[in-house]
Amino acid sequence: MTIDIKNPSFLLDGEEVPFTEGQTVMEAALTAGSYIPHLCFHPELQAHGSCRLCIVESDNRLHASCTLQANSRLKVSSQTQAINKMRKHIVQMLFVEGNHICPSCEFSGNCQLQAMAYELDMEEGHFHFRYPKREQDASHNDIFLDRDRCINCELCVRASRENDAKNVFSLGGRGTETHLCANSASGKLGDTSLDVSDKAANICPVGALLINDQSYVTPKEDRVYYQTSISLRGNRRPKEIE
Amino acid sequence: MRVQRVGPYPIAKPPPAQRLIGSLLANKRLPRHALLQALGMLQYHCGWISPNHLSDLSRFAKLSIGEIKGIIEFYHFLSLQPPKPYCIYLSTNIIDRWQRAGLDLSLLEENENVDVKQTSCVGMCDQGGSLLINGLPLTGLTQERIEKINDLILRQEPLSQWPQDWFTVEESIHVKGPLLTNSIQPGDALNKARKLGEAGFLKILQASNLRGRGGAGFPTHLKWKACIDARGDQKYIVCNADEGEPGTFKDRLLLTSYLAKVVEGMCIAAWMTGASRGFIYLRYEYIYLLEKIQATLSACREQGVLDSATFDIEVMLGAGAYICGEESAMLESMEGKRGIPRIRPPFPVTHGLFDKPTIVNNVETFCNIAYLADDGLQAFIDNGNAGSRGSKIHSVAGDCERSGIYEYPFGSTVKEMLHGCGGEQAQAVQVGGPSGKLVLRADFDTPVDFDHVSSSGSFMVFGPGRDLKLVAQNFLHFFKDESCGFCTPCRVGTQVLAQHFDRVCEGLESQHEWELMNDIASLMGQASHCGLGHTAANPFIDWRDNNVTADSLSAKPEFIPVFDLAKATAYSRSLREENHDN
Ligand SMILES: Cc1cc2nc3c(=O)[nH]c(=O)nc-3n(C[C@H](O)[C@H](O)[C@H](O)COP(=O)(O)O)c2cc1C
Ligand code: SF4
Ligand code: SF4
Repeated sequence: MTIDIKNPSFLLDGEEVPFTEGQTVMEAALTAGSYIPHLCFHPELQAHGSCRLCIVESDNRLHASCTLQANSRLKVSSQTQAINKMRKHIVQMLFVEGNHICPSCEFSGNCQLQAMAYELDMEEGHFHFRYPKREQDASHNDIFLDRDRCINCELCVRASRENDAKNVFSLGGRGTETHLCANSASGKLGDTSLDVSDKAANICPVGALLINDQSYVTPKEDRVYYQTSISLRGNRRPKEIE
Repeated sequence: MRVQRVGPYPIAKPPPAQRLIGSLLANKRLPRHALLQALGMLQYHCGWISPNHLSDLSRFAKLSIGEIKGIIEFYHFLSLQPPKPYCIYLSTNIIDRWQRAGLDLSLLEENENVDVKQTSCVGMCDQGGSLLINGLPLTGLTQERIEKINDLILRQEPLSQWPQDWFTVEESIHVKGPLLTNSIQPGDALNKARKLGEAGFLKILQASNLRGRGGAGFPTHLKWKACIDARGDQKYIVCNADEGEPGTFKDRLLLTSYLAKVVEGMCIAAWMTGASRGFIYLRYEYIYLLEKIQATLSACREQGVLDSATFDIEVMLGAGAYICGEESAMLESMEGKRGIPRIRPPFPVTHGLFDKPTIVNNVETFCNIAYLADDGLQAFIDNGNAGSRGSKIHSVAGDCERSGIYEYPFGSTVKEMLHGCGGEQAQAVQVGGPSGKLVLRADFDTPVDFDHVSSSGSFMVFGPGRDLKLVAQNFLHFFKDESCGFCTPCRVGTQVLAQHFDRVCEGLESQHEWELMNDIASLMGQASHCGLGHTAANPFIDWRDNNVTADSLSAKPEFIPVFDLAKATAYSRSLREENHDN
């Protein structure tokens, strides 16, 4: 491969992916239409690097592609059997860590975690379910927070700070006790300034932050990830609840 | 801060927050980076962060109570629960458990006036049975002493009246090398370095091939060069005194008896980089050293080694979290946040504390800098070997005759070290703590250096009668308790691995679970965000590689599933019973 300085590119699974200065591998790949699995990344927000689904291999090491700076010497593999097996384990870990109620969940079919499980051929939890006890928060008039389904991706945290200029959320605790906090005196969502039109209320990839009157508007069989895989559609919330 | 002994905690009449943290306030405002410091002080003096203090902090810091609580919950030693008059912490490290093995602590556990809690290694593995009471170490436990403690607690005798000698932490140095022998006249090391000029000293540093003593072994001259070259109106020098790796207590000695040298090393770093402020990030477990450290810093000011115009050093306290020893998590913690490791690059040398270029080095590394400047290159490289120059200070503990501090040249073998401490009988040694390596008897000729088995300073000796499976189990639980929770592989992986290894210890693991543990170990090792996750499966891997053959797995007793129906439904059944009662 020759290095073209004006139109730099790197190799992703053998294909050339063009990038512009400062882009990460994830940003460049998504722009070019190549999907790298992810949950905590969002193109409009600062990269986080926590879910680790976007791991790719380069120089015999794994990197999170959402924080890996693109450069023209890179040769990156993403869709290998070994990496997808690890990704599957990561999704399984996210499932067993929380309490996920897919069959009865309002977000079933729109959920990116569930879609990722389909994408990676996950058939069972594999690890021992942990059945944590987590608090729910129904104090807000329009928005319901069910921590049982939260995967600690901090998308809502970042959206509130970076997009809504509000700082409504933060993560608290340590290790497996890590949990989403509402930044109010009572710790309740209803006492924050979160508005139903805020980005933070409309970004959750799973069914942890639900808009009350939008549950079940679409029959299950018509929901997005029952129609299309996440690698084709991308990590996008359905129109009707955006 | 004066470290007076506090206890019984002033539960009925806690002092107003302003009195305890007044020195941190500026115009009734608490700067964000002082939040953790404020929390530490309130905790130390009151035994918890009370609702009243929380709302005071919320006002001073202009942060919501919800957010502050989230930070409090990150740190082991910060509590939101009303305390009892006294609070005891017992270290969960295997060595400490063994040291307490003959002691009956049930008296204390049943005593209504005291909470007995657990925490990871408190850095007292050479002190016999020990505990922390209201934040301070109490060493050399005997049954008789436990009974006395129990009486004092029952009577609610003020901690300040308890026998002074109970609280002493004796430093026992068994082998001194160049680092511990060299004595520096105040200002000498800095002056000698200055004479060489910046470029000159950097050359010496490079030629010495000094590598960081905190665990990672990164060449110090590269780190310093990068920080010297980094652009910034302000730069910082940070000394990592978190010493969290279980079994390590060598920084405790350096902070106690060799701090002037550490300061001098930091001064050289400041002079080279142009930094005007330095910090020592001290683990909460070593709060008992705070007064002494501050006295030494004052003495350094009197001697002109430190001064506020050129370079001065402050102490910042941690609040209990192993991950805060990881340099970028430490910087987050110093900024008053939860200690979550940052995305790297950028590295601290360009974007460190408050986003400014920052040098972070271990306590011992700064000591080495001072020694190198004072005694010169030749003396320094006379010790060790090509890949690992100089000497290393080890904290030796466990099944040996003389636990304590040993300074050996790099490249000394495990066998030599065991000979030195009277641990020849050992069946195995854990070098470098749980994140390090288990060395078995057959491999005792292995040199301890960066190229063979590398050590951050912990050397735990396991005698012939010890069950190494329980050692591995203990270490896996340590990582489970200390994962910061940021990334999926480590947050969940450490939990699941510890849980399945518990089944190994009960002799119940199935072939399926065995494969599962292998999968988790390989995932954590490769896909985690930071060094904790990368090494957290090491105890499992070492144990597996040392013990497991296809045969040893095939003869398992009857399969017992992980899923326990009675346990899984206990909560819902209890709800039903509650409803019946109503
Ligand atoms: C989980 C974890 C814990 C660490 N704990 C410590 C520690 O307690 N003390 C320390 O000096 N370095 C610790 N380190 C290493 C630091 O990140 C860093 O490399 C070191 O402080 C740099 O100083 P040095 O180059 O002088 O060793 C830890 C690293 C990790 C990943
Ligand atoms: S509520 Fe949703 S967006 Fe927020 S951290 Fe949890 S999973 Fe992520
Ligand atoms: S590897 Fe563990 S300690 Fe490190 S960031 Fe991930 S969860 Fe935190």
